[in-house]
Amino acid sequence: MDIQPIAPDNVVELVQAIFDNMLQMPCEPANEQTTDNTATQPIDRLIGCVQIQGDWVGAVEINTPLDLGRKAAAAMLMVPEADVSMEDIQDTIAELSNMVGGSIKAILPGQSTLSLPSVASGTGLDFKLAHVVHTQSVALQSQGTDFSINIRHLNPQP
Amino acid sequence: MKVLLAEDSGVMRKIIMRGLHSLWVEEVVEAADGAIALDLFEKHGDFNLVLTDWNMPNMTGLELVKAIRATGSKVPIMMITTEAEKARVVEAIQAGINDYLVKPFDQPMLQEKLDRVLPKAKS
Repeated sequence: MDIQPIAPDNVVELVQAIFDNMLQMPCEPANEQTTDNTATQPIDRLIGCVQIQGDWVGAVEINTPLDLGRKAAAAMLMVPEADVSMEDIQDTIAELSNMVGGSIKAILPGQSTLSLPSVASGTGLDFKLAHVVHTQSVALQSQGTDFSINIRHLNPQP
Repeated sequence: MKVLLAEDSGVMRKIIMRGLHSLWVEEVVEAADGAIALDLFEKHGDFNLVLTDWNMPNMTGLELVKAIRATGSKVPIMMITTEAEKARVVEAIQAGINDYLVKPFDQPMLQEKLDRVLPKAKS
């Protein structure tokens, strides 16, 4: 299968635009090694995911520590972190994954549709999608915390 | 001024509500998907503006726009969505929307769009 990776610089730019506009929180590329396989770290994390179906088939995930999820929710809602509920945090990560997925879909060739977002949260999350043939991981950092955007290229004809 | 807001994300509903309240819109009826929004529209029908997301469970925003237009209503409708491709925007315009706001947006962009579409709703 011919995999056409999405340029990491494009992903960074799209995520920076989302963080700037929706959260007023700057983010920047981070050292890949610090965020790769972060799901195995024993800290509370959230993974938001949207799937893309069409001429390009795959999924886009945002994988973040709970702490950054809380900061993002507080920034999005413009309230103190102490006033943010777990539902607010999950909703924020769902919406951020929706925006990242939507932005990436917009730069993909051809026509495709975006699924509704889903969010998983917990300690030592191990999130797996079926039929993944290639994964791109883009490491980012915001507010001194590492997070990652994972782009899963799925086999269109499993 | 009565606004129907169809958006499945609770966080996005809060952000849009904040924008509406800052423009002195006091009555906002919230719906968590397109089907609920259509039901509310059919029951109440006296909305001055409809704001809708595109991707929602049960009924999409595009289906909601088509259903509202099928009733003969000319209520201003603004779509607020991550769907940024030109073909999708054209599809929404053809379905009958009056304005379109692509996520992500910042608060001034939301205010500007609402400000632009609200006077139409008042007339």
